[in-house]
Amino acid sequence: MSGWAEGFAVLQDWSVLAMVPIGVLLGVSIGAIPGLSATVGMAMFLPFTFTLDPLTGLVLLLGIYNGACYAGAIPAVLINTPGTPSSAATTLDGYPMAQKGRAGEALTLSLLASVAGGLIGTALLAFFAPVLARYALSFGTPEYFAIAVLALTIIASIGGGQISKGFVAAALGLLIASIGFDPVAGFPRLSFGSSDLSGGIQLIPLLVGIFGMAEALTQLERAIASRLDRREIGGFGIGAGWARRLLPTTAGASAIGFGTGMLPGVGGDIGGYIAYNEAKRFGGAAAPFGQGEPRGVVAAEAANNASNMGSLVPTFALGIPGNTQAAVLLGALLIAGVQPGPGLFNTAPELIYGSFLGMALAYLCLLAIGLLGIRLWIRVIRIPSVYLWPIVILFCVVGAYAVRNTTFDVLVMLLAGVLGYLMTKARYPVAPLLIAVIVGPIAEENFRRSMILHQGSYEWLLQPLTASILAFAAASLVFSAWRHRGRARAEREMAR
Amino acid sequence: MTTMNRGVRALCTGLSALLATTAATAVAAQQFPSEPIRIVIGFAAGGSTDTNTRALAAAAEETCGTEIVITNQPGGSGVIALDTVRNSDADGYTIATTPTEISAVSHMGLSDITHQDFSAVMRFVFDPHGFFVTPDPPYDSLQDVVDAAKGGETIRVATSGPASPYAITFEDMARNTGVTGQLVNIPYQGDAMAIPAALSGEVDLLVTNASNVVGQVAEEALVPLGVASDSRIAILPDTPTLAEQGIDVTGGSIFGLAVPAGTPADRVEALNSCFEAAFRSDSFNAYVEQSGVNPAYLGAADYDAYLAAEYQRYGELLEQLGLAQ
Repeated sequence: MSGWAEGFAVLQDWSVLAMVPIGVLLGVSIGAIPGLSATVGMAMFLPFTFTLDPLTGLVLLLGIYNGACYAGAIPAVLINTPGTPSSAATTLDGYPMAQKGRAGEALTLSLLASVAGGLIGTALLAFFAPVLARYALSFGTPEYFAIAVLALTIIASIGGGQISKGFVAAALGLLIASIGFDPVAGFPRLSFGSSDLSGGIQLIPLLVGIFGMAEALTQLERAIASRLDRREIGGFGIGAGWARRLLPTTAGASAIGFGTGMLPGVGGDIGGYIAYNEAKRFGGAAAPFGQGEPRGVVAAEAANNASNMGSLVPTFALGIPGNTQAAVLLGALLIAGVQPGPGLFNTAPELIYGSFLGMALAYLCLLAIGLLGIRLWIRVIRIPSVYLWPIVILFCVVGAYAVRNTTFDVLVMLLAGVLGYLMTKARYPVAPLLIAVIVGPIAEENFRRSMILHQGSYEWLLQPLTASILAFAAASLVFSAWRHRGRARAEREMAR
Repeated sequence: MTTMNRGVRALCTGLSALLATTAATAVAAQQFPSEPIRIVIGFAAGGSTDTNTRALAAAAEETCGTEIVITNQPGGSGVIALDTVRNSDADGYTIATTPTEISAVSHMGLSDITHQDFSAVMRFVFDPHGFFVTPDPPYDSLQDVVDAAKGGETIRVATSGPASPYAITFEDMARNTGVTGQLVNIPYQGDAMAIPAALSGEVDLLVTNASNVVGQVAEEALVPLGVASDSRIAILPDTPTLAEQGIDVTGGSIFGLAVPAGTPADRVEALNSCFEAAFRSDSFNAYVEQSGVNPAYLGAADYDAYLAAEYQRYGELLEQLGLAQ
């Protein structure tokens, strides 16, 4: 327990404490703008931390990390565009809520869920990191493949409407994901001799296009046709009885998010989708998931913030970055003269426990900033459609360009926008496409590596952990199909 | 008359404009750099290229006396960023980080980019590749690994893909010791995936930059068997080089800076001197000390020659390994 005392002692310094709100505010601004990611924001401030006291620098970076993860939900709810990839699943119910005049409630929910998920994640990280890190190591290449397959089965349940349309969208996603260097043999695929294409399609331009640009096109078309404007904001309260309704979802989603986040290379975007899917599965057949169900927003946001904390488990306990942001943090730790690894908790307790406390503090600070800020952000909705959506398009262009400063990414964004617009028109869900783009490469790479590791034999599929996850994935698929059929039959009988 | 007047006036305006431009250019040449410098990094934020370059750039903002803007353009083993810089104005204001891959991509048919598209500014870090195993290994040295392989054992080696610098060093080592068939390259997407695989025993041998696993080595989670450098390195003083073990192989990750070919020599020189000052600054030295990277300075001309030699070496190596196109 002395580690906590030491951490608490070093945190009681005004220069450290001042960095908490600064970091959070920076993070919120970066995260709320689609295209700007926490990684770039943190990397920008990394050299600045060289001159600071180690803990001060870490607290600043962690503030950006936490703030950006939450803020991704703001544009996801208001304009159907996730500010960061982590918030992709938040659009599924957050935006429908906003369209139904419940934007205020959706924003409050995403803030509370983010803070809850983040605090739960921080607690799990602080108390169990060394144990959990060892558990995460038992996830080898075959298990990664199984997890990716599990994530892909979500496509069947998340699509809404027809399952077949979900599969078409997913197939398109897999095709997009296969552009670029083959992960195992290193050959360029579908590059047609272009060095831009051989570098692959970047996730953020695709995300910004398929959500933001596509929504802008759809809304502008509607605005020009009907001049129907002025959406309602609704109250900011989340209604009575929220504890019973939302707490189980929050707890479950946080656990799922944290667990997936611990695996290097599996980010909050995947965690958000898996948690969303589980919330839907346990939510009962009648719950309107996909049409503005508060639990959908809560699940996605609790999961991605918890996942952010989960990513720090291998970072702190093994010295292996769980995601790109964690890589920047790892850099900061190294510069501070601290060698992350199993011994970290003993060699630099004040820094480690100080940063755990700093993270918790950052989430409390985020709660305050969020509650104050929501009324400001929501004004976006008050902007008439004919002005709002062109501005969104401008942000999409800037955001896509900002990722790598290449016009190629802007082109990708524009094409993705048209694709998303056409898909929406034809009632094809975009979420399966996105899941396939994110998860497809993980599945492919790990499948092929498993085959190499086992010299061409399929025996690895029968390893206990791999086989269990795959069995769960199969069950999940059957369950979605069964529920889908039940619903379709009920609808037919209603029509009769 | 009026037309002629206008003509004379236009000529005068033109001349004075020309004079002004020349004067401005002269001033700019004297004061280079007078505008912000952009460094384009071919890898994602947070990676080793990014961290090393940002640390140097932070010091260089003072020594060069101008703002330095860092852009990350990850993709295609650094090719996208190199392409951007190659196509920018050769005025010294756009700098590329030169990855090891610059010597390899054209041989493998992945791009037409070579070192000839650039004029070197300097090399600042050379991180040699190391070979690592888990504790209590059946192998105490690389010779043991080679003997086991010769005895028919299959040894799984974690690298970052068949075309990655790690893999090339590893293939070179396998070829050099004559055990190509028994050492199997297991490609991972980067160190964040490969290091856990080594820790959990999914693979038998890990090839990575020594600085990436200093912590794991310090805590005896990984044991170094050899480094592919000319001499032993500061962070692993007890680890023999490959050459000491009778394996004539060197290889590592190179971190350097270059500007588009055709940049005026005086500007390259100005950049070299102010970045060298940054390299020798206290703040960069503190970074080197703490991060465990291996500082290895080469000036503009030396680095140009070095890149040319590396290009030649990789060409021959890739040809022998059957990876050349």
